[in-house]
Amino acid sequence: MKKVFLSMIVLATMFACNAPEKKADATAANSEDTESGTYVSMDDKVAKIKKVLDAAHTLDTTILHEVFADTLKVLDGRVGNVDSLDQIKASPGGRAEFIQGEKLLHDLYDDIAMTTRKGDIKTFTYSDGRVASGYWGVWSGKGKFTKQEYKIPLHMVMFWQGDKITHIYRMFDPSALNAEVAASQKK
Amino acid sequence: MKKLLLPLMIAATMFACTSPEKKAEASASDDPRTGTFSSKDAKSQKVKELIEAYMKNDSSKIYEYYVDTVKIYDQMANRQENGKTIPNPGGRTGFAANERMNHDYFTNINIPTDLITTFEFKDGRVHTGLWGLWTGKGKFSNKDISCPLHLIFVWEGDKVVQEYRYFDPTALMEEVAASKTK
Repeated sequence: MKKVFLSMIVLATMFACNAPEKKADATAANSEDTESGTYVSMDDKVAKIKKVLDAAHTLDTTILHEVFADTLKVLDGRVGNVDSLDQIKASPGGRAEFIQGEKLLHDLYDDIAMTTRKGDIKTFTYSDGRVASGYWGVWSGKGKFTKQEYKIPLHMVMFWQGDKITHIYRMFDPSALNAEVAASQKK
Repeated sequence: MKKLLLPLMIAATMFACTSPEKKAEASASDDPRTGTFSSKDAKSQKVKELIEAYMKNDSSKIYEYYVDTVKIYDQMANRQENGKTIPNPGGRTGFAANERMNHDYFTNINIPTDLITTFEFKDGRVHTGLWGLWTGKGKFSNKDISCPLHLIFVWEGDKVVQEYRYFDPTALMEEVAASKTK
């Protein structure tokens, strides 16, 4: 009898160990609200994006290959860049063209940097399993042709599949970029 | 020996039970910028009302939901000072006038309200975000405009105290320029 009793206590203790986690999972999974979940500003994905942003200064493309899927979809929130269904159009060329675009920025600007202040980057885990990271920061650089220093607020949303980013949405005021491209074509 | 072994097993199991939670708590306490988000909450609903009123050129919700000292930050290039965007002048009155002025330049203004989410930080801050596509037709250029838009509303209690707006201002600038040539 004692043996049965003690075994039951061990089992009950082990069961109690799992119960709170199951409750938390159930709370997070709000089936009526797919736009719900939790977020953090300190995790592996935030650390990876910080490395990507830090690499913008030196244009180290190794980290871009590591973090972005080769089929990456780049969606720039510019005026008019939408399809007939009012969805932002993806730029062609995937990761390779994205990296080319980053290289082009270094042809136009010196001293490129992006802020990575605490809280600039967060990772969101949706109740339906999607994982996205958001960035709210400032891009800065000095125009090689205009000699003007630019500070441009930048918002990006990056969707993950496993440990790779498959979609990146970017929103910023492109007037400084347009001005620098125009100046480069005059010279 | 058996008597000694079983209490040890129970103690070990109980200890194993508390360990992961303590680890999780320690990790969360290191990160003050954690929280939960949802789209079916009162603040998301208020933002939906604000946007719907804006589309109808109705400023009443601005006066209901914004503090009079609200700071509006248009996240444009080179409008920063000490690492922060310079707020638009005029507080709530200036903002309401600016919103009404949009209707002087554009007709058929529309913003979908299906992607509005409220973020509740562990430290008590509450922000609401909207991602959508602003569309309208220029009254002077007669051009149909589609402009992706991201807004962040910062709440204190049930009032908006700050709003951050991310968008490409090209079409707005062009419409203002077109209005001056007519």
